Amino acid sequence: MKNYKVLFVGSPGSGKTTAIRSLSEIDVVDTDANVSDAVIQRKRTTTVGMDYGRLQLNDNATLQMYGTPGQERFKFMWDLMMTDLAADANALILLVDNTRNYPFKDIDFYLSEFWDYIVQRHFVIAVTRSDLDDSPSEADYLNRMKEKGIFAPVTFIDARKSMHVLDLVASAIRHDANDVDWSDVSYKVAMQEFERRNPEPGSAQFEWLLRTKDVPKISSTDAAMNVHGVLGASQFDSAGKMIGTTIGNPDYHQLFDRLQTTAQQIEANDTELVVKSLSLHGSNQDSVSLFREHDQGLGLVSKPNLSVTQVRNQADDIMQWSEHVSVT
Amino acid sequence: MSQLLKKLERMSGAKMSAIVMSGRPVVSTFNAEQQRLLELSKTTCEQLLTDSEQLHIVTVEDEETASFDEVHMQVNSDYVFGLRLNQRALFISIADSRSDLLKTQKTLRSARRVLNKFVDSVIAQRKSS
Ligand SMILES: Nc1nc2c(ncn2[C@@H]2O[C@H](COP(=O)(O)OP(=O)(O)OP(=O)(O)O)[C@@H](O)[C@H]2O)c(=O)[nH]1
Ligand SMILES: [Mg+2]
Repeated sequence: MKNYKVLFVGSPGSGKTTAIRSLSEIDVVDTDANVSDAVIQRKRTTTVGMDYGRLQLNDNATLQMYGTPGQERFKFMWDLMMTDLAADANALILLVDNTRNYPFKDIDFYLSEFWDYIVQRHFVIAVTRSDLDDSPSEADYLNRMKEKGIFAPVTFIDARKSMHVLDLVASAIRHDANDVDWSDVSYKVAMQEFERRNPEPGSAQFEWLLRTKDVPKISSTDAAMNVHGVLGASQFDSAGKMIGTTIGNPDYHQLFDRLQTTAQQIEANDTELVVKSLSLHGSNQDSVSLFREHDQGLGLVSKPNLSVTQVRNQADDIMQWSEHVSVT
Repeated sequence: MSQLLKKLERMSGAKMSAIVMSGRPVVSTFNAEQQRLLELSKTTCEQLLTDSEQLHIVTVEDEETASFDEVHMQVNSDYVFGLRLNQRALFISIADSRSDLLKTQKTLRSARRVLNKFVDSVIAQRKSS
């Protein structure tokens, strides 16, 4: 009996659970919890354990699919999966959500997090949700990968469509799995999808589909206020001008202004420098932090007990998801 | 004296560090190529801490102890920690932005007392010579 394993990774909402569910013959254990503050209610559910699915490829071979929880606070699971459960995986599939504000940033992040793992196996990038946002395009991705000197195939898929996912998996393990007749598998998967098309109300599949429906994007200040420990937020445009705020105290506005001008001055004096964040802390004092992307900025006032990494992760998350600030 | 800084770096995961008094580094593990980063960190932290003092935003009941004494900055892939020490000295420490910043911050904060003592001893030395 042969076992082929693939590991799915990617940002929250990139479709890991969806992809594995669409192919798996066994019911995927539902470890999804309703989203509270963290993914800023961008999504109704998020995986807090891991995903596992299985598909029989023929009498002698099975496909095992593992999915990591997307949120960074479950990073310990990533290590566990890389070193244990999926240590012998044949391929790593990186799902990239095209509706995020900075999908390239996601690629860079996962490349660095999983680098040692990637170099030892087949690696494929699959871009999801491009029906909702068609930029960046396939050519943009290819150019970007070329710039980085990484030769990984990039395909665009809809993680809800089992045939897309099968194609993707087959392309990732085809070299290893030469004992598999993929046309047989395709037929089986197509039939399975056909049967599942209208899940029974009340069935596990039905309930999960209901729970994972997308919610619309919201402004970054509203998103920030959903985060536990964040007391106030200001949103800035690419020039550093404040375009929205929940903060009343003018002293804070002045402070954010100083942080903005300081960052801008540093960049003006040396064009090779990019100031990504600037913040003030004190042990008995709420923290004031400014986070910057090339096209938007986010200022947060947060409780001192919120750690530097927590604030940063939340800010990154919010800027990835927030209603995009268009440069005018 | 940079032994102390080296040890702190090992514990905190930082790459280099310095103690700055009256605008000048008194101990430093920054090498020649890294001087520009030290200069930039020093002026930015000094400026922002002084500016924020003038604003004196009080957010907790205890007005006396409420003040900013720490600046963080991420420039490119470097993460700068600037801590205000006593006698208006400044402690600068640089870590890789991908490293465990929480650990660095915790270690640096708990080293405050030792760093303050060091600053005191430098001042005492200067007075006696
Ligand atoms: N429109 C559209 N929706 C998609 C596509 N692919 C996936 N989705 C939807 O996007 C959402 C993805 O959610 P999940 O599968 O829970 O994402 P995940 O990667 O498991 O997220 P975490 O568990 O939070 O890490 C689901 O609502 C899917 O139905 C696509 O290509 N187009
Ligand atoms: Mg999931």
